Amino acid sequence: MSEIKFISENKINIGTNSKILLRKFTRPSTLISLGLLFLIIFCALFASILAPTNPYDLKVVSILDSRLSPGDKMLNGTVAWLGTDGAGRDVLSAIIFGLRTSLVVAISSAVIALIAGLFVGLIAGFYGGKIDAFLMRIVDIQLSFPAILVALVLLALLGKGIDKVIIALAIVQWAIYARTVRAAAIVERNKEYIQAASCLGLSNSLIIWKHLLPNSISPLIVLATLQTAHSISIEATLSFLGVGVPITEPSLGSLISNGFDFILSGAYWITFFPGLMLLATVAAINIFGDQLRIILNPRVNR
Amino acid sequence: MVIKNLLEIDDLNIRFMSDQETVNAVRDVSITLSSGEVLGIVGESGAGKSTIGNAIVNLLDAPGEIVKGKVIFEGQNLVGMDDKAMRTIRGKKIGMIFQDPQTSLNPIMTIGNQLIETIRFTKDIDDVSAYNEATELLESVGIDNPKLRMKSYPHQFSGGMRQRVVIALSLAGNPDLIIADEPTTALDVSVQSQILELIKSLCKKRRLGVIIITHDIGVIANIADRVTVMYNGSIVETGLVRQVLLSPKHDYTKSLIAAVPRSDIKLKRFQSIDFIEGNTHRNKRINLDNHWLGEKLNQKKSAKAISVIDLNKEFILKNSILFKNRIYLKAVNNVSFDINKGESFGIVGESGSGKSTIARLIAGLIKVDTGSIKIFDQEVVNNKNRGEVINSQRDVQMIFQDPYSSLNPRMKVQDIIAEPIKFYKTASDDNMIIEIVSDLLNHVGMSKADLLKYPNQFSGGQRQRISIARALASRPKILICDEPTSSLDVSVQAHILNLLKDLQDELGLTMLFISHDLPVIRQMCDRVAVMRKGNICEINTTENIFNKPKHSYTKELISLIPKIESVN
Repeated sequence: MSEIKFISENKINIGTNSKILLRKFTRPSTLISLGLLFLIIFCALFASILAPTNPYDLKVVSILDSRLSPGDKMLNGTVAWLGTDGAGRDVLSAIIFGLRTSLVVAISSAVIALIAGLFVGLIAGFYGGKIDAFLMRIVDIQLSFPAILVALVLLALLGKGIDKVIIALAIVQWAIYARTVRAAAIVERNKEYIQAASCLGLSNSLIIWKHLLPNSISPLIVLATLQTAHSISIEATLSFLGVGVPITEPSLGSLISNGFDFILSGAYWITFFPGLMLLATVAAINIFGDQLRIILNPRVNR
Repeated sequence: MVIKNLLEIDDLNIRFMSDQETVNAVRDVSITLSSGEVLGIVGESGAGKSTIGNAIVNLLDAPGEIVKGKVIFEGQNLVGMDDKAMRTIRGKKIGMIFQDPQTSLNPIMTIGNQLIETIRFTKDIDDVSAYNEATELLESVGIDNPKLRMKSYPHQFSGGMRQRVVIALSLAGNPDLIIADEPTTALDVSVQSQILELIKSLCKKRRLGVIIITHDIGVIANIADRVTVMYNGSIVETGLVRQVLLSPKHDYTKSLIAAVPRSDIKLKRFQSIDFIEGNTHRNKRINLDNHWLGEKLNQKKSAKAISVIDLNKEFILKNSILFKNRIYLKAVNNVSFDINKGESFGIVGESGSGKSTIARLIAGLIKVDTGSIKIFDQEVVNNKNRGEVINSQRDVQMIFQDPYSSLNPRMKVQDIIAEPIKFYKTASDDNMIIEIVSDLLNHVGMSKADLLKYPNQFSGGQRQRISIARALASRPKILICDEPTSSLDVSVQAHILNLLKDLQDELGLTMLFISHDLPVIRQMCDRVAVMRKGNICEINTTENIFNKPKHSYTKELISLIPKIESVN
């Protein structure tokens, strides 16, 4: 018989997790989407510095520059790399500023919806029974209407303005978060550490806050990224339909609709480039969300 | 005819390689098996016993690989054999029985079709003779009315019946060797003994070679002819069951056998089990007079810690708007008992007997339907005064079965144990909390260095120690242990049971101990209640329950305990 090494029971396996995480993070698809995402956010944050011109400064914008093709020089000497629109605004600058509006609307509505959904989902998952049934029926009703329809009706009621769009988008989205959190919360609620906590005499709100919330939140991280992309496109649709953000603060959607009148007369760039940007943004966020799902899933260890 | 060397494993080495580490799961293992013989492979989790079973039939999970060694079955080396050739052996020459009968049967096929399919796969016969053979097989594994049962689906069978079907399936190809991996672990004790009896008789009747892989020494004692003890990938001892179990040679075997709770006599502690978790000694006793745990411990005068009268609890199995269409399960049916202060009271019963429900009712985790529960003479059922209830419930703390889900994975050990202290404000400042927490950890046999770790960095036994420390942190007077060791290895179980005994001694705790495992109950409890289907059959002192059982069900349970002492 060979020599036997007797190990004690407390063999610990630390360090390997962070290694796997790092390896997952450095895969090409993750890095590319992450890079693109950073670029987009960077552009949006520093729009006023990065943009060649300020498209909303009426002193600079001249009607004489209208509908220049990509690469032409404007009156003040700057080159309009992506052309100009019907009012003589530089499309590149408009996109960079529009990106900012789009992201602000999408992210803030996602955050509001997440908090509301988290609250409802945790309550429903923790208490179960009638409370759960009641809340989930509201969620069902909410989800049975097409998101765009609900948003349209809400905006018709609320009126125009960025804040109104954010509220409308949050109302459209909270139900998805609520349902996801509830599912996670029900699984956690039946685990013994929750029972141990109630054995200690902790109040329900404390149990929800300290024990249930931290353990139910991880599926939301992925959902929130994907939903942000979703709300960018809903917002773009609303703006395209003319009920979205006000004309003074155009988003990618309103830029697309702005150029729609000229698309048949050959000035494709006014619509095309904002559309391309919208596609790139949504795709980057979606791919990143997908990668995040793989990274956070402990079962995929490749 | 006895084939001398039906299976011969020679110098088998298996390793699992990953980026982080290489695990030598099996090292230099040699085993021989003759036909008509039952060989038991016993060991604790991680010993490599299942890996050997899988390696024999080439079912090693990636990244496992056989580094060297031979598996010679009927003169053929199975190592390195290609999949096609292996398929003619697996299922036909070698049958397999797995742990969970729930998952090893296809839920959407009738038992009959599954049997016929397997028979036709192994033999070249038509449907009618396959059908006849299937019914014969079902009959031979002790299923009544085989013709009728052929049409049933797996969910229409109980766990034990399902395992019989799995055995019938493994016999379908008329194999020479059966590998049974924990065949009775998921079953109740009464079913377990029937299944073991069946495997044993089939082995003798059909001249099969059987390898039983198990963690349970009681199973080995019941069924095996020879036993191989494994530890950490290597064989430490092989021999006749009688010889190995009654006069073990190796230190590991000795401590493993010492750790198995005995059902014949009550020992004060488990002795000589320091082999495995050797470094978890508690270095001092708790003296209640000057210890934090004893502070303000207002001694209750009542002699009865818990008094339960006519307790009832129903669960709705099938809901319906019409009341008469609802189907209820009476989980607890008119149960009454008293637990005296400082006593260890056991509740024993098979799964579904309602014993865990009682624990949860007393701990206030689920609502009582009717009846009364008094904790130190304080009624807690339907008591409008919330303060009184919370105060009483605080005296009762629970230790749960599954150490992997009973600790919040996102909290540090320090915060987990400090939670009740902070909540009840029983410490004056943060430094004192840390001091108390590390002292408690020390008393459950863990070190101060563990304070900042997360639960996933610990083994099952260590997590259970943390759970115990958390329960103690609210200064309970009653500890409810709901199957506290049933998911732990036997040596770890012995350590945890010793710890609970010590703590009870030192703190004068009252204990309600719930288990399906009679020997564990025997070691832990002063008095025992035997439960069946929501009713209490018998309450008596442990000595009387085990030596002079009155109720027929108790007698049956006692007679079914697998005993090491009764090796044939």
